[in-house]
Amino acid sequence: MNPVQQAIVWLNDPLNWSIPGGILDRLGEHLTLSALAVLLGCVVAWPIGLWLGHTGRGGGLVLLVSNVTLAIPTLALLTILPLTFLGFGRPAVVVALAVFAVPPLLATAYTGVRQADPEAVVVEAHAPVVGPHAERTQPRRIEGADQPAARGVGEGLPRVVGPVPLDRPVRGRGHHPHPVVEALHHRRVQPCPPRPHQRTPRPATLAMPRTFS
Amino acid sequence: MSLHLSYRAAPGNPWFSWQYVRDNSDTILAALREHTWLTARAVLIAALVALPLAVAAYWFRSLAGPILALTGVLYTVPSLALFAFLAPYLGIGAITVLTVVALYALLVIVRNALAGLNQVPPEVREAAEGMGYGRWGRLLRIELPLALPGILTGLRLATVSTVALVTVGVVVGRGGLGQLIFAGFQNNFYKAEIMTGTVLCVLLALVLDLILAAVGRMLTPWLRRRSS
Repeated sequence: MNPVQQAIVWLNDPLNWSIPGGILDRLGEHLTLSALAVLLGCVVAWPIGLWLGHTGRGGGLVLLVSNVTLAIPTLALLTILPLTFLGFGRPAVVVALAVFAVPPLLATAYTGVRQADPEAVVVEAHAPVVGPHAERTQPRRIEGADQPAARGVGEGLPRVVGPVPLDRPVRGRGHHPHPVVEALHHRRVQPCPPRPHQRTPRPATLAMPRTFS
Repeated sequence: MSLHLSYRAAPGNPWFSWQYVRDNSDTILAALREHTWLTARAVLIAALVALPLAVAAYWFRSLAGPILALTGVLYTVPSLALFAFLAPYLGIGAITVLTVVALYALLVIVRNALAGLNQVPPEVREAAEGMGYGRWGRLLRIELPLALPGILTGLRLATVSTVALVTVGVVVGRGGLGQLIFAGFQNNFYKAEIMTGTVLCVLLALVLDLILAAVGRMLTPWLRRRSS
């Protein structure tokens, strides 16, 4: 049986769907984590992006943030954050994933406001009449930014949904592993035997360390 | 009797420890070398596959949609799933890591190279045609050099994200610096080891990015002249 057939058989077993920790459970968890992460990303990135775009400064900062977050490995964040005050469990995962949702959200909010500039000239001209800086929130600019901002969510979501299975080291002991991780553990399909002339690297197992309390 | 327990000797900040770096410089350097080597090979492979794809999408408009869609779908597959799926076929080792990581780099390079090619002004293309350039001559002498900024942007983005992604290779035992990060996690949450791996990852990405940027400046002297 090839893996595709195995997958079909596995998916056809209703128990695999309904069992606690089965597909439905995992799917709901995956969606919740992704949604929370993108939500957190929006809460952090949009105000900053809108503000930077509004003042027209910080383009370099936006670029720097997106470049640096691109270079941080998911694995590193998911191992570092649980050891901080966030602790093991859901908050650490959500924060780690939100970090990857921030760059596109930030960039699109920024460029969205910048691009809406020409139409906002009228608003700018009104500014001295209408009131102080903070008060002219420039509804037009924000209106103009909503399309790029939606694109930002569209770009951010896939970046978040992908790495969720990596959260295995972070979850507490009571949690069932993500199906992908479970499959890695089962090793129903034997890995190729190591070639004799090669040094065999020890594959890391994604198991919880015993010292976890 | 006083037994000096060095690990008890209150480390100031558990996340950063020169002691660790000094004691384990061999391991760290080996991991760094492996990581760099994996990244370089993966980006090279990805570029060799992606550039012909971008040219194909540029020449034949009808292919552009499917090529971008295919690489886009590959990009959304979780890396862990791809490792788990490919490891039984490709074995546990560098080949699996290279394959997975190169597949992810494809999208970025194809997309940016295609954008670069599409930015070649139509007048230039027509002028080249008028001068008697064939399809290949035009591609090699006119269009690819003019698309270089786009291609280099793609390569830089791909390199940075590849450096980060190679760490996941730890699931097949070839993660470079990921090996350090994960080992630190398993060794009773040895924070210094985790942080060293992470910081080196980010630094490696920055250094490679700067190198590629410098190469790009050297390859496109006309852009520099225009801006100065």
